[in-house]
Amino acid sequence: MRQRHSVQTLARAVFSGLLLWLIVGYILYPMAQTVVQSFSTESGFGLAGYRAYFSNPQNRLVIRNTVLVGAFAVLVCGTVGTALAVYMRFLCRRHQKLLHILLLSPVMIPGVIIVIAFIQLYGESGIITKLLESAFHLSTPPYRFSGFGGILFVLAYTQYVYFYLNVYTALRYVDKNVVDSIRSFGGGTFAVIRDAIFPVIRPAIVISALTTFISAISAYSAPSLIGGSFKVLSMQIVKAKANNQMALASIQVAVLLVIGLLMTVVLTHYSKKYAWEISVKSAYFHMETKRASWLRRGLSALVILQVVLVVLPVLAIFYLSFIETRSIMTDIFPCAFTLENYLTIFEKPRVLRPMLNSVNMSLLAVLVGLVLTLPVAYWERRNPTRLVRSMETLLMLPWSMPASVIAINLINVFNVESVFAFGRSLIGTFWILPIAYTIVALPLLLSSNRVAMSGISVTTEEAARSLGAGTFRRFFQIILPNIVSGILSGAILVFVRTMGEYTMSALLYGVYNRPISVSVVTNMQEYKVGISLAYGSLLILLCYGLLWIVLKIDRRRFAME
Amino acid sequence: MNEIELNGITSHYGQTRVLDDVSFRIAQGELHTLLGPSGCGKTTLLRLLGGFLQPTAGRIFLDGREITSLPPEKRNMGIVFQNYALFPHLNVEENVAYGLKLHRINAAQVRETVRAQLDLMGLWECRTRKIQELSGGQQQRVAIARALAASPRILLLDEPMSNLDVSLRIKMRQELRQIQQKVGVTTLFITHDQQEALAISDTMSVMHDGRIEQTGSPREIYESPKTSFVATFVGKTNMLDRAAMTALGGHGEAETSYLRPEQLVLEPVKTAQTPLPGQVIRVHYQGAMVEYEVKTDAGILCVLALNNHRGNGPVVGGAVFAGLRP
Repeated sequence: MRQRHSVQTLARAVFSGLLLWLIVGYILYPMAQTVVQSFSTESGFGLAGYRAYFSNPQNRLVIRNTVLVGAFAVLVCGTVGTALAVYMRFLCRRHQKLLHILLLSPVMIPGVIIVIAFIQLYGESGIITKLLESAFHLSTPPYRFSGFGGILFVLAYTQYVYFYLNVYTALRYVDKNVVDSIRSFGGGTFAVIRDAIFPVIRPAIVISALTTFISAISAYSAPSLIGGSFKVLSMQIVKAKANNQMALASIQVAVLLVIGLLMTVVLTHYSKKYAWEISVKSAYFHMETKRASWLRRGLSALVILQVVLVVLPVLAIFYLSFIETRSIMTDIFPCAFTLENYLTIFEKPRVLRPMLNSVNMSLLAVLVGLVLTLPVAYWERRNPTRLVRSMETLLMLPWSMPASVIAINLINVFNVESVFAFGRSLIGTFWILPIAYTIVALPLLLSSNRVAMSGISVTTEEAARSLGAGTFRRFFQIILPNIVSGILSGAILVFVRTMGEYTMSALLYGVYNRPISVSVVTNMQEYKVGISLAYGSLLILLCYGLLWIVLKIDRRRFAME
Repeated sequence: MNEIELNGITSHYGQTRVLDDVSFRIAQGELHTLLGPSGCGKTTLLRLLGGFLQPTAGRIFLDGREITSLPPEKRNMGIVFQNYALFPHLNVEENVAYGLKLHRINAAQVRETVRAQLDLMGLWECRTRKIQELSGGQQQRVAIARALAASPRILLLDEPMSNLDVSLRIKMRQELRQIQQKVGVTTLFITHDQQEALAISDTMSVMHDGRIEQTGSPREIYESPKTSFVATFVGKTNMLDRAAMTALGGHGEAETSYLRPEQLVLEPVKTAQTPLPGQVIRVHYQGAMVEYEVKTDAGILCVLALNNHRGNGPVVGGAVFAGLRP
């Protein structure tokens, strides 16, 4: 018995050691290297680089723009997401399930595809733009789908889902008894919203704000494809890297990281302050339809608009992927049908390669991520020692690191031989992208695994133990069957996210690992729009297929229970 | 023989001492209850017996053999947890069969035992149901069936009634007692409900702040409490000094006497039996019984009387005379 116990302790120590080594080598040391790099100047070590950077008004404008994009994205996504959640939870009477899935679906479509679809719809030669021009006999487009407004429009569409899902889930716990007691004290609608509804959704709002902010300030595809002259930090970073100005890139990364960390600190403080517990005896709250008819009408319109916005780009991508590129570029209503775009992908191995690369790299990232996060999530539930807690904190770190920060950090360390890569340089090899994807996947998988683990109580495992089940049996017969769907659905979501990852991909890809997201963009830039859209369609099909699996196996994930 | 003995068990949680030199013995087939308020160390003691925790000091014996450091999976103890801890992915039948299968019992015998257990619990009809489809009472019976199916040497029950409503609690505790007597399994039952403890136990121990205050039969505990905690925690009590006892017409030898409310009697007039005058300050109507609080020179007394259904009992502000019930 004692021997088996010591084997377990040894296995745990080996795993902890390995995990810490990886975290130090691939997250902490690269981060430190970037910080050091940002202070290195030609004349030695100092603040000269920062002084030069901040003295340029253009750079200050870029920082301002980045914060502006983050703040407005939070504002717009927060308003849209919360409004949709209120409608769907309290007022929606018909097709609730279908609408819910439609409203959630943008989370499954890679951002870069959405941007391309939006350009095809609302860009200068986009279908909707041309439609409006011909309908109203205009000589110029009625709007300009670019710059700050364009970026915000894309972000509002792609990222409201965080707010929507979190607030929708939280609203389930609005307590009818609390609402009734406020009414009995003479409180009106405002008092009900302020004292019964808002406290319940506040933690969800805070956490969604943080996710949206970090995601918005790291966004690269929208600013780079439609930003025009409106520059943000992530674009500057990619440009500096392309020009091989790594010291400058490191300064920009440090600035972006500080913005991200500041927001994380502030919002984590608020999320702790407003943490809230579900009352055991709470009763479901339903809004009275009559009372809320004006609200209902307004929100119905918003939902219809949002659903159109969600469905239109997907339809556009599918439709245009069957059209000749020439027709897409020139016709008002492109209708020269062809299968050529798909045939090119499937007939030329070189063209299919990026798709396979992305599948391989994302699978690898998810598998490695699971191996690294599952034991930590398990120990956290069973025996949360100080070591386990610190491993958790370290694994969550990449959550507040924008994608470009992670990429530049890796470049700074692995462009030369490194002890953490067994004396090799990793830049230019296949491995660098799967590694970057894994780093992004770690916090997402850890939180998803933690939620899955909470689905089974410690006493259930103890019950199995008291009936005679050993470690192996307990894990495979009791724990695994109860957590597998939660873990799998989390893994699928992370897989989809890495499949469409663009920022790190653009910074790190090489000959051996060119991913699909990069191919989608480069094909478009090379005027092979048809192929680009066919890639997009395949990716969307894959993602929708996976969304369907997630909905089947884990209804809790999207608050569908 | 399945007899369990705890000897000088002490347990710490960090710097805090949760159990302090706890010793008691449960004889073969006996139902022993641990009664105490929340946080007194009851569940810690159960987890120590189950093998999920190790004591800082002391030893645990099962039939004279030490099992202190034996892991839970080797102890063969059936445990019913407060939240039942049923396996959510298995149905009723599979839950009950789980332990049997681990003991490598052949399939036919597993089926037979499961059937016998489910019949005993009145659950045979629900055998293919999912756990989530059962009521609280049914879940509790599945948990008991699962624990008993593997023929445990000891059955440990951790407040299994706490999730049930009052009427179901009373029904279930009677059922539980019947099953326990039928099976004859040595049982440790944990509760903070004194009525439950008095109703169900062969013997019981009252715990307070990690220590056993008194061990004995329910009658001994209720009628002859040895400490003021036992006297006040198990039922209501009047704590009387020697002078108060004399005023009530008794002759107390002890410094302090504990008298239950039903051991006192009230009369509208002074008699030889009711010498102590007082005034009723509160009346608690309880249906079958009526409880009075009476202010006297010997202090405030709590008196319990049977409801005579005539409505002519003492009223608030009324003068009464108190004494010892003959």
